[in-house]
Amino acid sequence: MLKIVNLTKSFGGVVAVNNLSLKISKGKIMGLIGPNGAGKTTLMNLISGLIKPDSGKIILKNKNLTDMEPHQIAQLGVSRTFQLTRVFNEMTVLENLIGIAYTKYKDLDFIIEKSMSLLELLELTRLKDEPAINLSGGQQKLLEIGRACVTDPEILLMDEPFVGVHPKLKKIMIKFLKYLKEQKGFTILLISHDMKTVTELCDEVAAMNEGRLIARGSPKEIQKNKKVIEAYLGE
Amino acid sequence: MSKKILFSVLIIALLSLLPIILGLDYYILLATYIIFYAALASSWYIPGGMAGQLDFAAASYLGIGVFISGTLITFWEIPYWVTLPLGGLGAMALAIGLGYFTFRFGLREVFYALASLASVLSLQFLFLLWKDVGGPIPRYIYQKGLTFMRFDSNIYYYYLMLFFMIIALLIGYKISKSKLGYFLRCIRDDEDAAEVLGINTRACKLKALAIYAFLTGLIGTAYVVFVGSYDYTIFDPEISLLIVVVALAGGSRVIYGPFTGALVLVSVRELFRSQLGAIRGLSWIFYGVVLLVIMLLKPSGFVTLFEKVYKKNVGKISRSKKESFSKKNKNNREPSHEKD
Repeated sequence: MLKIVNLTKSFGGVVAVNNLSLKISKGKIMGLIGPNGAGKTTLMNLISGLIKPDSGKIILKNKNLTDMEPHQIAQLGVSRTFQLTRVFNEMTVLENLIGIAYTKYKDLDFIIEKSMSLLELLELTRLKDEPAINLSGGQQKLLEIGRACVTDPEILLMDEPFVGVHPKLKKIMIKFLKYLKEQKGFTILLISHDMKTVTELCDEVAAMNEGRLIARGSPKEIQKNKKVIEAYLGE
Repeated sequence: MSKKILFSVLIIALLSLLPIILGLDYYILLATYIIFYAALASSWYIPGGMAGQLDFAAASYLGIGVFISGTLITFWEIPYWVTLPLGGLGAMALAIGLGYFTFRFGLREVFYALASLASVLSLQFLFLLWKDVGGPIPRYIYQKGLTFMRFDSNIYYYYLMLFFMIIALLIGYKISKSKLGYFLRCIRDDEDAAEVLGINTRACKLKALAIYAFLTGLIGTAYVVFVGSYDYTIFDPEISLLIVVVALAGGSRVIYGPFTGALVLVSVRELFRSQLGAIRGLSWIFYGVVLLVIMLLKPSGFVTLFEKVYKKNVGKISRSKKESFSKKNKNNREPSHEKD
């Protein structure tokens, strides 16, 4: 599905992603963990085209994404959420979804119907006409996930979706991610520090430290991995 | 919605009857100037209000329209109606050129604003030095009649400007409801997020700029036959500034904001000018004070004040309806979750 080959990105003297290779299989949720500064978000920014790599390749369904513009990458099926929520503040909740759905679909009636069903699953229907800026932080995170899914992407990149989210909304989020995996067959790359949720949701986990991939395996294997424990404890 | 359409029709009907109400040609002249700025501000809404681009190049596009129309009429006696689309297309070509380079090199916000303002000053110098077409001496249009749209009475120009204002408002409205409108609003709220989620932000901004420049160019062609002369001073940064100021003061986020801002503020300025005399700079002091007050009390523009009053009343009605409904159906509550 998504193949990352020898990817490297430096910022000045700091090597944020260092010769990293990774494969993500179709229909799976892969967790991406690692201590702060491990390069997880940089990797996500590289995949979505926000920044360009110094070397290496990113391949999605045999297409090289490396030199493409971010919107072209998105149109090929890479969608994402952000660590610090970035909803379209002055647009309403429904308009947030419609705006992005238009990048793939043409029929407004179909778009509205699709958006409304997503809002229902995310329990945001009641707020559909509310400007996104009026939503709480957790509700904005839910909206961002809905917005990223409205185009039925090939792969969904999620950067720390559970941070600062009320347990009640987190529950909705987890239920929705399970629905995406089981009912819709979504492929997801999920960055999170929340090991309990990662274990619950992910088929596989990759661990990063100092820009490198240090381990990969099932959630239980990763929790026991010495390199991962050392990276988190800073030994 | 239907109330809004009815209100718009009433406003347009009132504006159409205004020359009859005003009577004196001098007042019609003032009204034409006001409608001229309202038309420009309505065009500006497309890239400025919808896409959030702080564009100061209005005088560039206006000037290109003026020079294309003016030159073709005075040099070759080409009918105004032929020069009309050419003025729009010339301005559009300039906008595509300017926009391509500024957007290609990632100029945004204040840097884009400065680049667009620089275009006005550059064109001012270019047309001052280009003596074959421009030069320091004003050129006059001596032709008369409908072919050249040159009349002694200002009433024709009033309706011409009103026509362009309505066209600009209708196009703005149509775009705001279209796919491009949604894309532009996404860009306004977060350009990077819009790009990463699949919107070709550069192409959308370029489209908005091209449409705005075309409309501004058309208004430029109307302006030159209205005034009857033209020179390099049409590339005036004050025109660009004024359009942005009235649009922001009126409310750049709603379609009728820039238009209302222009109608109110330019009218008050003209009133001040007629009462206090043409003291240079006085109008800018007035705009400065107006902007300060608006930024302090209503940063989203004064028209949003009326919108909030309207929404508040509508909200009251719908709340009271909902309350009576829930009293009847106590067990039928919609599921909801609270803000965390």
